[in-house]
Amino acid sequence: MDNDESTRLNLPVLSVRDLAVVYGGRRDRLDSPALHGVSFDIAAGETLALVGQSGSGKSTLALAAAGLLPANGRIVHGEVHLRGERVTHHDRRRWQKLRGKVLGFIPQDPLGSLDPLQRVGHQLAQSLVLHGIARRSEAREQAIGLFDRVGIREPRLRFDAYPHELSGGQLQRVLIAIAVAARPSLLVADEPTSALDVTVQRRILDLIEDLQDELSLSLLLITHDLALAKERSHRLVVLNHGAVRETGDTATVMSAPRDSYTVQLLADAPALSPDKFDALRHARGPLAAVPAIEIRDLTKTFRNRWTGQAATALDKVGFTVTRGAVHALVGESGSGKTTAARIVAGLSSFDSGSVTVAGRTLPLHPPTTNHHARTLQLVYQNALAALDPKFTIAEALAEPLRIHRLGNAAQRHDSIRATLEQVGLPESILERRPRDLSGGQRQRVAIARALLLQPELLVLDEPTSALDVTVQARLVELLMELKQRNGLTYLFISHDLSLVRQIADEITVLSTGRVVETGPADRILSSPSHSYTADLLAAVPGRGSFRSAA
Amino acid sequence: MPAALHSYTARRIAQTVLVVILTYVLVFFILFILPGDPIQQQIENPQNPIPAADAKILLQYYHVDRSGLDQFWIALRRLAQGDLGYSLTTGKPVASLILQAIPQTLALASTALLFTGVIAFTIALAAAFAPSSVIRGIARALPGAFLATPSFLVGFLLLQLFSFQLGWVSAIRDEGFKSVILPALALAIAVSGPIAQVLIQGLNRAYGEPFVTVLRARGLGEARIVLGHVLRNAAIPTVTLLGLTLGELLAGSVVTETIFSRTGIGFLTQQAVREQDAPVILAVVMLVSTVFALTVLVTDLIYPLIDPRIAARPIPATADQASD
Repeated sequence: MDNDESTRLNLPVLSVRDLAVVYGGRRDRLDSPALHGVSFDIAAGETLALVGQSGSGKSTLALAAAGLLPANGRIVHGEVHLRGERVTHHDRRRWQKLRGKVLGFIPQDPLGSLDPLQRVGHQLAQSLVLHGIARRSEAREQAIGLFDRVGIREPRLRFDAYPHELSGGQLQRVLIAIAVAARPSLLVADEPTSALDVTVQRRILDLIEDLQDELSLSLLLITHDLALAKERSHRLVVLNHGAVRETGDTATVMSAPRDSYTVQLLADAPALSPDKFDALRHARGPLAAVPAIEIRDLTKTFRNRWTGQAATALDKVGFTVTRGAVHALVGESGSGKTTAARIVAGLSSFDSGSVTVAGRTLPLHPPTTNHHARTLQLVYQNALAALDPKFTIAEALAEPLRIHRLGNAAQRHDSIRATLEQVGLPESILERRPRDLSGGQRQRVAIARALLLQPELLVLDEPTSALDVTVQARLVELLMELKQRNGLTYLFISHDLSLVRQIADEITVLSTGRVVETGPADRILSSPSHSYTADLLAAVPGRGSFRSAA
Repeated sequence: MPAALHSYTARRIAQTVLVVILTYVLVFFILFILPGDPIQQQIENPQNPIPAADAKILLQYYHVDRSGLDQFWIALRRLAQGDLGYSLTTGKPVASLILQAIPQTLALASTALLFTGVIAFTIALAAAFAPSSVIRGIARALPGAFLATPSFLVGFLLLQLFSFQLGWVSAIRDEGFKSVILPALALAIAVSGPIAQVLIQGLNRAYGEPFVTVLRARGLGEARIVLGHVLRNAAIPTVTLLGLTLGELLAGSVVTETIFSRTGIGFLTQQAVREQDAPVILAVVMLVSTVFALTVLVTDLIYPLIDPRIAARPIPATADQASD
C-alpha cells in the first residue's frame, strides 16, 4: 500500500542528498570524511549499482543508507530519505521500525551472516513473527514456502539445518529469504555474490532479479565488479575516495564514460577488455611443445580421522603444462585446484599417478625440505598470511637467498634491489613490515621473493583475487611482463574466467576432482566440448547485454 | 549427526573413567608403596604414639608385610565394597569422615559457583554493553583487580566488614546458610575474574560478527540480539572455564575453610596432610579428581548442545583439507 503510494506520488524509494559521513569523533577527521557530497535517488523497481574500489566509501554509503553505520561513524552533512521519510538522524529505536519492513539487507559473506547456533529455518521464522507476517503457529509453514520460493532444495528438510550444513549459495538464498520476508520496498545488497562461485553467483543474481519484479523491489547493489553492474543495473554511481565521480544510465556510462576514473576502471576490468594481452602473445609466436609440468593419473584422497570417511580430492587428473605458457587451472571451490597446485609445488603427498616438474619426477611423499625450490616457486592468494609479520621486507626477501646460500651480503643486496625494481617497488619499503604495505604492494613482495631464486616455474594460486580491479590489472600486467622478460612458465589457478580469458594460453577445467577438459585456451573458450565448461563461461558476467530499463 | 554425537559421548565417558582409574593407581603407589612407609611412621610418631594394640590392628589391616601389588589389590577390593580404610590419627573410618565433610564443602562450593556465575555474567555484560563508557571501563578493570587480590585478603576484608563492623554474621559460630555466604563470596571473587574476562572477550568477538549486522538489519532490538544470539555465541569458552572453576573451588576450600573455620573437605585435607594421614589423603585426592573429571565430562557434553558444529566436526580440518 505504502509501496503503491510512493510510486503514485513518484517519490524516490531512497533519496540521498549531499551526504557526508565521518568516522571517529575527533574534529580533525572532518577534513578526511569517508563520504562527501554524495547524492542519488533510486526509483521504485529500479536497480542502482554503486561501483568503486575498496576504500571508495561504497560500503559506508550502503550502511549509512540502511542506518547500520558502526558506532564510530556518523552523518555530518546532508540528508537521507527513505520512502519520503527523513531518516538522516534516526536513532536505533526509530530505525528498528523501518528495518525488514521498508528496507532489507543482503550481506557480503553468507557464511558469517547467520547465527551459527540456530537452525536456518528458525532464523527466517523469527523474522516472519517479528514483523507480524505470520503467527507463531504458521511461521514454520510460511518459512518453508519462502525457502521454496528462493530456490532452496528440499526446503522442509533444510528448515532444521544449521548454517554450517549448507553451502554458501544456499546460505545466501536463506539470507535473501530473510531480507524479503517482511516485503520491504528497498533491498540493499553489499557485494552479495563476491564470496560465491561464478555459476552460483549468476543464479543468485537471477533470483534477486525475479524477486524484484515480483515484489516491485528497488535494489541498491554495491559491487566492485563493473561487468556485473553492467549486466544487472539500470543506473550507475561510480565512487572514488568518498566522492561521486560519475553517475547516470548504466548503458550510457559504460559506452561513453565522461570521467577519467571511470575510463580507467572500465579498461582495467578483465571482462570488458578480453584481448588486452593479445599483442604480447602474438609478438611471442607459437610455443614449442616442450612440457614443463606433466601430470598423469594423479589421485589424492583425504581421510577424515574422525569418521574414517575418505573424500577424493583428485581423481585420475592428467594435464600438461607447456614450457613458456600460462596454463590456467580453472574450477569452482572444492574442485581440487589448490590441492593439485600444492602437489605440483612439492608440498602435499599424493596416492598414485605421476607428476613430473621440469624433468624431475616427484615422490609420493614430498621430503620436508623442498629441494626444487629453485626450479619452482609458489605465490599464494593471501600475501599477508604468506609473509612473516615480524620480518621487515628486507629480511623476508633475503631469507630465500640465505637458505640457499646464494652470494655474499653485498651480492644479495644487489639482487634484492634489482628484483624490487622488476616488480615496481621502491627501495624505501625494505625497512617496512608486511602490515604497513597495501595489498597490491604485499603481493608484489611475494612475487619478488619468488623471483629471487630465478625459478623457471611459478605456481600462482589466485594471486589477484583479493585485490581491487585496478590493482589487479597492474599486477597482471607485471606478471605478463616478468614472464616475457624471464622466460617463465605459469600455472595460474583462478576461478575468474574473464581474467583467464585475458592471459591463458592453455586451460584445464577441474570439477569435483576430475579434469573436465584440458587444451589450448582458444579452443576451450570458443567451443567448449563439455557442458560444465559452457556453464562456467555462460556465468561470467559482462557477456550479456545491458539490462533494459524497467 | 546423532551417530557422531553418540560416539563422541561414548569416547568422552571412557576417557573420564580412565582418568579416574589412573589417578587412583598413581596416588596409591606414591602414598603407600614408595619408600617412607606412612603407617609405620605414624605408629612410631613420638608426638602422637598409637597404643601397641591399636598399632597391631592397623598393621594387620593394611598388610604392610605384603608386597606393594598385593596391598594394591586388597585396597581395590575394599574400595569396591565401599571401605576406604581407617584414619591413622583418629582411627575412624575414612568413608564416614568424608561423608561428614562433604555437605559443608558442597554447600560452600555450589553457593560460590552460583555467586561466580552471577558476578562474572554481570561484569561481562556491563563491560561489553553498558551505555556509559565510564561503567564499561570500571567493569573492564574489575576482573584484573579480582585476580590480583588473594582470596585470604578478600576473606579477611569481608570478615572485618560483615562480622566485626556490622555484626551481621558470626565469624566463629556455624549459623547454617548464613555462614556460607561470606566464604562463598570470598571464593567467588577469587575465581570470577578470569571467567568474566573470557566472557567479555567472547561477547566483544561475537558482537563484531557479521551476523549481528544482519540481525539488526532484520529489525531485531539490541536486547534480543545480545541475549538471544551474542551471549550464546560467546558462551563456549566460558562454560569450559566454569567447569574448571568448580574444581578450583574444591581445591580453594582448603584456604577458605581454614579462614572461616569450617569443617569441610578443605579442613579435612589440611588436617590429613599435616598428620600424614595417608588413607584420608588418598580418599580426598580421589574425591577431588573424580569431581574434576566429571565436571570436565559434563562441560564437554554440554558443548554440542550449545554449538551444533562441535559434535559434527570435532577435529579441525588440516591445512590440506582447508585449502581450496
